[in-house]
Amino acid sequence: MPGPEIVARLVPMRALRIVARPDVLDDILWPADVSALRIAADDVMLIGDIAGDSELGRSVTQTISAGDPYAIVCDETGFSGAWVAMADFAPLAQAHIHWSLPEVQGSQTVVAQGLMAGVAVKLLVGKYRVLMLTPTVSAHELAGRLA
Amino acid sequence: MARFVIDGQTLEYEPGDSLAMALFRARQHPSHGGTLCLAGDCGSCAAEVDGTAFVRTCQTMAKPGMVVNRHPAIGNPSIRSLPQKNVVETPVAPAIPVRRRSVEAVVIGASDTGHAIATMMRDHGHEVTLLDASSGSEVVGIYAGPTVIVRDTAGALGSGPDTGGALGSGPGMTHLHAHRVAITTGAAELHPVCEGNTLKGIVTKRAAEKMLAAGVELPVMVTVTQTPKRIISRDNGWVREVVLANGETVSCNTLVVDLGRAPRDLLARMANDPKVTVHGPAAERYALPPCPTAGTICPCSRITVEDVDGVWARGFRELELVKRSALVGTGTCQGGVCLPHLQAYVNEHSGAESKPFTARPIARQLTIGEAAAGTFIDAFRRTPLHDEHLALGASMDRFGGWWRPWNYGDFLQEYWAVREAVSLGDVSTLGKMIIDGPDALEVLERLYPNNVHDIKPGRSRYVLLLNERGHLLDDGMICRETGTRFVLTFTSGGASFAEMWVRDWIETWGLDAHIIDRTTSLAAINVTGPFGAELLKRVGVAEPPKFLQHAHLDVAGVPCHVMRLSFTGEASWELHHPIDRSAELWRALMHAGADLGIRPHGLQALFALRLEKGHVIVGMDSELDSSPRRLQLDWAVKMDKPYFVGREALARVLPLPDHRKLFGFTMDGVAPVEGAPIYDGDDIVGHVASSFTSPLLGHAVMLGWLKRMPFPTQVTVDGRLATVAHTPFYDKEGRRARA
Repeated sequence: MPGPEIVARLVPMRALRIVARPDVLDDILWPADVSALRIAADDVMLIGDIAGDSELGRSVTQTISAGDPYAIVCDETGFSGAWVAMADFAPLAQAHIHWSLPEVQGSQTVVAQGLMAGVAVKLLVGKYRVLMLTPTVSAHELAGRLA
Repeated sequence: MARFVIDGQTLEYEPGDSLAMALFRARQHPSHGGTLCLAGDCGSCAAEVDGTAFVRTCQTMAKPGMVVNRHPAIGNPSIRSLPQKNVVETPVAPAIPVRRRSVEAVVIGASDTGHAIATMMRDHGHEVTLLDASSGSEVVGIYAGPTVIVRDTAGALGSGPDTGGALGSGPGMTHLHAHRVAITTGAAELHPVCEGNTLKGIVTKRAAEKMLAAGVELPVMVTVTQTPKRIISRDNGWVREVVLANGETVSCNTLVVDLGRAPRDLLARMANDPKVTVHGPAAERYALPPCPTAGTICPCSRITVEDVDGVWARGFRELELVKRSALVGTGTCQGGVCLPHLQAYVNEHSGAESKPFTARPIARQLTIGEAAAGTFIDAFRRTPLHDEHLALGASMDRFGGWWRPWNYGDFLQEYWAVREAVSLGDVSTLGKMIIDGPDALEVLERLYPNNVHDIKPGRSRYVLLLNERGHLLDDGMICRETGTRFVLTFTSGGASFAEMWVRDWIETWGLDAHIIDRTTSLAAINVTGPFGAELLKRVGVAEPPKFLQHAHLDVAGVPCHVMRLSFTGEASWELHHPIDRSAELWRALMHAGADLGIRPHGLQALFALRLEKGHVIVGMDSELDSSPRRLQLDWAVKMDKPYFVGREALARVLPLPDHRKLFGFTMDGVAPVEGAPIYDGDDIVGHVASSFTSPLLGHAVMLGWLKRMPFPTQVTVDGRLATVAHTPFYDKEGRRARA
C-alpha cells in the first residue's frame, strides 16, 4: 500500500488514557478487545471501542482506582492512527524513520516512539502489522510528509 | 544537429559532448577563462545550467534545449527566488527524495584501483556498492559513521533489496550507512599558477587528449611540462603566446599543461574514520609544484598570489590560517586546484612542511533542495478549528508551534466585537495539564511563587512560573478540582516545555503526583465580550461560572471545562473540550450568537485587547532574565512562602536596586513600531515591547522597557513625547472583566 493510501487512513481514534502508579499498571491484565500502549512507566493508552463512560471504561477505571486512588483516567480523542500491514509500513519506515525499530518476537507487540518524517508518532509494532498514531493536531502534517 | 543555448545564443553540439566540450569545440570557454581539466576537479567550467548555478559543464552532457548562462565575470550568480506561495500550506514534501540504505562496503571511484578493491572485497564475501560520478552516483560527502552522501542522478541506488523496491529508482539523494568505505578517487592534474593563468585556451594534458579523441580541433597547440613564467593573451582573452620556464617565448593558441599530479583526496580529507581507507593514486604522495610567485592561485575564489603575500605579511603563517584569511580553497573546487600550490607556498615561506587543510562536506555544489533532502522544517500543528478559520477568511500564521488565525480580514472589527458584543477566539493551543496525587498540592506550592493551598475547589488563580534564577518562564492558571487534583494551563509557546519542567521537579523532589499533558487532546474556545454570558445561556449554560471560577458543564451538548477569566479585558470564558467536538461547538456558538454581533477574533486583535489591559505576553514583553519585579508582577509572588523555585534568587536581589523595568506608556497619535528605541533626551534608555493605537482610548498605548535609573516619567519615542502611565490603560477597576 503506498504512502498516500496509508495516510488517508489516519483517522481519529477512541482511547482511554490512564496515568497511575507503575506497579498498579504492571499488575493489570488489559481487556482483550483493546490495544494497550504503555507509552511511559506511569502512562498507558487503551485503543479501541472504549470510553470513560462505557461499561468497559468504567470497569477499567474501577480497577485502576482500587489500586491507585489518585490515578488520572480520561477519554483520549487527541490521536489519529491507522493499522498498517508490515509490508506496507516497512518502506515508509525505511524512508522516514531514522532510528531503529524494535525487534518483535512471535505474537508480541512492542511500543516505539519517535519522529517519523519529523513528526512525533507512537507505534505499536507487531510482526505482521503496525498501529501508527500521531496527535490529531499533527496528522495533516504527517500525512503531507508521507504522501 | 542538436543545439543548446549559451547566454542566449544557440550552439550546435556533437552526440556525446559535454557542455564544456561542445563549447570548446566552438572555440568558446564555458566561463571567463582558466585551465580546463574536463575531469570535474576544478571550477573553471562552472556555469548556470537550466537555472542551477555552479554546475560543472564538463560533467554535464549536452541535451537539446538546455539553457546555459555563464556566471558573471565579477561576483556570484544571483539567487533566484520562487513566487510566494500561500503560507497557510506548509511545504510538506521536500522536492528531492532521499533514500537511506545500510550497506556493507562502499568503494568510491570506478578506477582500476577501485575495481580491484571491489573485486577483492567481493572475493571475501562482502557485498560491495561501487560508486562513480560517471555512472550517475556522485559522492558529495562522507559524514561520521561513516555515512556516504550520494547525489544519485541515475537513480541506480534506490532499488536495493532492503528498500523493497518501494522507494523508487528515480534521481535523488542517497545516504549510505556503510561498514567500510574505500576511497579510490585517483589523482588530479596540476594547474599552472603564473601570470596569465586565467586566460582562455589552457587545458590539462588529459583534457587535451579527450578533446582530440572527440574530434575537437586544438589549433597551434604547445605542451609544457614546467610551469610557464607567463602566459600572454590576445585581445579576446585567448592565449597568444607563452613564456616558458627557460625564458623562451612561443606562440600558441592552445596551451597544454602537463605539470604533474596531486591526490584527488577531498573525500579522504573529510573522513577521519578508521572504517574509511584510501587506496591507489589518491593515497600517494606527489611532488609539490614550485612555489607560486605570480598569478591566480585560487581560480574559484579569484585569489592571487599577491593576495596570499598580503595575508602572509599580516602574520598568518600556517596553512589553515592562510586558507581562512585569504579564502584560498573555499570556492567551487574546495582546494582541488589550489591546495598543492598553497602547500608549496607555505612550505617555501615557512621552511617547514605543511599538511593539507581539512575538508568538510560537501565536496560538490548542491542545490538547497539536495542539501535539505530528507530534512523537514518544524512540524506546525493545526487546531481542530483550522478549517473553520480558513472558511471564515482567516489569514493564518505560525505562532508557538501552531498555525493560528492572525485576523479574519479586519482586525479592528474583531476588536470592537470583543469590546462591544461577543467574540470567539481559538485558544486550543494553550498548554493544559492535569496533576493529581497525595503530594500534588506540595508540588504546586513549590513550583509557583503564588499561594496555591488557599485556592478552593471550583476556583482558579493566575500564576507565574519562574526558573531557579527567579526569571519568568511562563504564566498560566491553576484551577482546583478537588483536594488533590488541579488543572494547570500554560502559554501556547510554553506548553511543550511545561511537562518536562513539572515532571523533572516532581522527580527531583521525590514527591508523589501524577501528571498528564492534555495540550493536544483538548481544544479550547474563548467566549469573550459583554454578551458572552448571554451567548452561553443560549447554548445551555444557565449560570456561567463567575470570575476566577470554573466548572464542568455541557455547552451546546459538548462536555466542557468552563473557566472564567479574562485576558481581553472583557468577561471571558474558556471552554476546554475534546478536540473531536470542537468544530461542532464552534459552529453552535457562532450560530447562537449571530444576532449578538458575534465575530471571531484573531491574534492581532487579541494582542491589542490585552495590551489595553496591560497584560504581559511571555516572550514578547518579557526578556530571558525578566524577574517578576522587572515586569511589575511582584503582586503574584508571595515572598512569605518558605520555598518556591526561584525564591532564593529573588530574595538575594530584593534589597538591590534594579535598573530595568517594564512600564506602560501613552502617547498621542499613531503607535510607534514594536522595538522602537525609547529616548531620554539624546540617550536611548529602552525600547518598545508592544504597541497599539487604541481606537477606544483615542491614543497610543505601549509596554516598553526602561533600562537606566532613575526612570524618567517622560520619554521620546519616534520623535514624539510619551508618558509613563499605570496599567491597565482600560477599565482600571476591572469591572468589565468581572461583570
